[in-house]
Amino acid sequence: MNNNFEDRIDDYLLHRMNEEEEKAFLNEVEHDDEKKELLEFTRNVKDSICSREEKLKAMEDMRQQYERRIASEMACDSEQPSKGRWWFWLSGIAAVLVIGFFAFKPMLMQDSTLQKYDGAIKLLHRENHMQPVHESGKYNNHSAKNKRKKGVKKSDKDSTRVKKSRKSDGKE
Amino acid sequence: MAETITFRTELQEQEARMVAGMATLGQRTQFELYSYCADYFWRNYKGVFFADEHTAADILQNTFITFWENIERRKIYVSDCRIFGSDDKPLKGSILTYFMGIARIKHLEWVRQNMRADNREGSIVMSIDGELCNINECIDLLYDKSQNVMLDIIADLISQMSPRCSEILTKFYYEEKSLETILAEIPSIESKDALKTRKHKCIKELRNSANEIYNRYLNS
Repeated sequence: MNNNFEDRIDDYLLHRMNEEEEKAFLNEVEHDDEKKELLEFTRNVKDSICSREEKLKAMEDMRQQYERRIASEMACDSEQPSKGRWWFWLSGIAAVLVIGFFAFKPMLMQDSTLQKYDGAIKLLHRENHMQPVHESGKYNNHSAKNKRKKGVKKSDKDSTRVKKSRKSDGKE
Repeated sequence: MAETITFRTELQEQEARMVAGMATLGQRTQFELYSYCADYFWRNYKGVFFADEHTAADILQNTFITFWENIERRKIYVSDCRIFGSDDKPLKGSILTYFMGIARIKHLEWVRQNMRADNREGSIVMSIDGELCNINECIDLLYDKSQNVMLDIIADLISQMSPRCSEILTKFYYEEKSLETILAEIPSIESKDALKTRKHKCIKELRNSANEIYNRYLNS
């Protein structure tokens, strides 16, 4: 099959022939199976190329649109995590505060109960002995005796101070 | 005899609508289907074949073109809000499964093209659906058994043409430019006769490859 016939096929497919040339060409092809097959093949190649190029053009627009959509979705996703992060930190701080509250609460309660006990003890002493409690925390003999009875020990320092104070009171 | 009534799911109806819109060239529906297929492809291609992103993008492009052409040639079509295949039976699965099936073929063709460059075509044995075959046989197994196999073969070969042949044939047959115009646009070709010879060579290569594949398909 020479290239000349292929050029004629191209002229036919690209409508470069006049009516008479076309009729003659088709008549020639009709009586030759090899030429018919080559014409059919070249027609399929042309149709496939045209179809592919049309679709490639359309797909280029679709691809750009798709990429814009993906980019906008990624932009939305990047905004959401910042809000999420803000809630994350807030909830973390709140959790630390709650845990800290429950961790330190027993300690605070212990101090306050100690104070209460201390106060209660003082109150008990007042009620029982009707004796004021000295500012320095000293007790008179009577209360000291009661304390001893109750098993509360007076410190040695306290006893020496009491003695000294009596002496000083006596001199004056 | 009792008739089996099959209900269409919402997804099936949605897919049928998109395929029908593709056939009627609705641009909005075309983009919707493209987006639907592309999303699925990018999420799942690594489970179907190994390829870098650039190659995967080429495969997606060729796959969608083939998918679109199959819709145009009514290899898959919509009837009564259902998608039917070329055997006139409703598709059992999603069109995405069909789409990834085409992607698989495109990947194999890409592999064959690369192996051909390295003269390793036919040397690698693969497994397709449990059958061992060399790459050419595997691709033949995956070809849809339809009347217009030659059209499919030509379309596939055109997608794999060398860049020079693709450029010359596109300018000549799609843009309908004269040889003189094409010569001016491709300065690396020295003369009109050289351009003509190059064009004829491209057509001859296509024809030989198509006949080889078609004969292998007939004998498979």
